[in-house]
Amino acid sequence: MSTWKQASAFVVGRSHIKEELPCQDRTVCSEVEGIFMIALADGAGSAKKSDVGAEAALQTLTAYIGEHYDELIAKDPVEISGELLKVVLTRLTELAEEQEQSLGEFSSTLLFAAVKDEIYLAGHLGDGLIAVEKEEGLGTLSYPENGEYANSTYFTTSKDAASHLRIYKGELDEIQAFFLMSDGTTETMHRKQDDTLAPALKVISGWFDEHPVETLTDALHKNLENVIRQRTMDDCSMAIMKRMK
Amino acid sequence: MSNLELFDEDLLDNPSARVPVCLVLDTSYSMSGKPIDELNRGVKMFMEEVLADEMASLSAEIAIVTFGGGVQKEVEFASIEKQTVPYLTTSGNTPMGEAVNLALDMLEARKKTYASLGISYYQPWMVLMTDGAPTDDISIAARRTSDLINNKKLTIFPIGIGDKAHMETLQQFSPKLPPVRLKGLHFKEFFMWLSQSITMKSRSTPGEDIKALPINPWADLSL
Repeated sequence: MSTWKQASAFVVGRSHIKEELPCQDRTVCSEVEGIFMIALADGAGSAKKSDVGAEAALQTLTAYIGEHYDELIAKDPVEISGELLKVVLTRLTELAEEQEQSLGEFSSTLLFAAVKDEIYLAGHLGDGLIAVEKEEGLGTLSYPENGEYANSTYFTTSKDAASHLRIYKGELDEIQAFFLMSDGTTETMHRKQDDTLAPALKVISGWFDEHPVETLTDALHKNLENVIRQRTMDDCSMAIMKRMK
Repeated sequence: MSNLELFDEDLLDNPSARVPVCLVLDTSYSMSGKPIDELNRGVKMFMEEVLADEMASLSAEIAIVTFGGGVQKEVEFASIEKQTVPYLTTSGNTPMGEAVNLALDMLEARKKTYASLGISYYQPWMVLMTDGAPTDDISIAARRTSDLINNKKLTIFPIGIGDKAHMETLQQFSPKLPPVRLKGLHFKEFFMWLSQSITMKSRSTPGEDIKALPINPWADLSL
């Protein structure tokens, strides 16, 4: 059975600090009976409860994948996206009713990667980016999906969200690490013009070989806060898992 | 922790997402005297304000088309630090339809440039200002702006100057926002509002609704 080391962090963006708003990015790392998962959600800008929605979406999603991984992996991508989104929306609807808010207030993007033995399942709704590391180097598994404009994307509560939740699955085929990042972090980790990933991902991956999870989590948090956030106004987050030899 | 730090060379840069804004301004003969002087002051202050803001200066791209006698491309789209403030003068009649068509063509071309360079952008804005009525056919231009607005591909701010501004004409360009009459010659107040609105737009993230700033400093809201 393969073992994966996981770490994640999120920090509030400079514009949200100025406006005294909370960080709307959330991340989760979990392991359920040999299924290693990382997930990340970026709450919608103006949605009042999008931090709560992002957290709830991640908890619900990872719990469901942990419980139904083998069944999910056997299905086709359209079925998987429909099923996962239905589960997330059911939870968000409950929350909206409990807190007497409209469903849209709990909107967020969604990114996840799950691995069991030699098979992976990943998904991506909205912006942000999923990168992977193989022996030959870094590669992008899933690109941001914005609308035409910079301030538009797809959220858990968007119309036709299921058709925008892109599912990736298959054999690991030498994938050694998964990197999930929100759009704030993507600004410095992926150059759109020539589709290049930042050397930072390779640097961070190297840390995973030498340091325990607590140290990695602390380092991710400090670098998001002191380096990456200084180059964007947006919230910043990352969730990473790397296979241990 | 000293060996767990990222450095600038580990990271990449992306160009700021752009906010293209085209000012389509009436410089027909009736704007002579104080109106054109105030408009010139307003445009100058607008470009200075955008340049002074860290985010807006990197994001806003301004073009200016005037209509007075003929239609002129006064300022082409470019980043603001490369542009010079134009000095607008008045002349002749009011070919508004031709000016709006030219502005729409310039916005379309600019969006294509962004796409080819991998630069993200926001929905384009157009400001249409007039103190009178058009002297050419506006039907095609009005249909174009209306279609774009209804498809969420353009925001237009139609502004009337003085009592003779033909508000019904301006309305034809703008199926959503009603035209607003400028309070006296409060161009500076309008352009201050516009630069602040661009700043807010350039900071907006997905899912964020930008609340419109109050227009009472420059708008004549009396019935």
